[in-house]
Amino acid sequence: MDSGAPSAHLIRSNATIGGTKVRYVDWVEGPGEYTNHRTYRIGLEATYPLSTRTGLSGFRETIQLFGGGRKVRFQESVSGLPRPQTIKRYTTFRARQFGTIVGLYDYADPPLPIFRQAHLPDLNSLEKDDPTPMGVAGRYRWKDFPLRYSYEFASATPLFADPARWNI
Amino acid sequence: MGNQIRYRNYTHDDGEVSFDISRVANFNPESGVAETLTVFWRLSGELLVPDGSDNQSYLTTAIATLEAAYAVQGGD
Repeated sequence: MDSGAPSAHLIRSNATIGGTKVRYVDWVEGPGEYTNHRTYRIGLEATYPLSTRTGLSGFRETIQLFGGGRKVRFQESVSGLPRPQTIKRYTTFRARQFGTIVGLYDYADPPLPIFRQAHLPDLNSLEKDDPTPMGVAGRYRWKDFPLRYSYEFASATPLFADPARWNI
Repeated sequence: MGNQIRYRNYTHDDGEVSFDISRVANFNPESGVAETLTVFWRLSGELLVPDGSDNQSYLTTAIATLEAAYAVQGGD
């Protein structure tokens, strides 16, 4: 502006995700070009983060339930067909809760184990993947931080639950 | 005087350039939540030779100066 102060139309590269990008500098061909003028077109681009309520860019969870029924094994013989044999009338109810939670600008905390009393903490698993770089060389920022988690459960009584949902 | 456009240490001459700005929200394909906002600046202008200047050498220098300014990414 006349005062030298920046106007409202301003890109501060540090406030963007990955800095200001110069997309193109084109020199336009037309009558009289390079005689007393030269026409150009320039394209700039900048991406700003928006705050989201959950701070997540992805979430998906799966609950697997298995076990609890009879344990059957097949008895094989030299010349006859294999025969099913019940070796245990009841088995342990087992469950596995696993999923991926993707933090928008940092790693997010995974959900808590869904069956507290049946939780087997020694089988917990957490895996972090690289976030995605965004921006130009030397000015990039990171986005989308994936974390995979897995919990295992065992119980003498049935386990039932629905997976957690992404509470957008 | 009017508003001037500047990128890094390069200031376009007064009235030499016009511009338009557009904004596009980027939505997460799974959640439908807007996560980022991309702003596009499109500048359009002319390098003009002042009266009494050597056209060719003036334009050659002016083009090189502008190219050098915009060759650097990540400026304000």
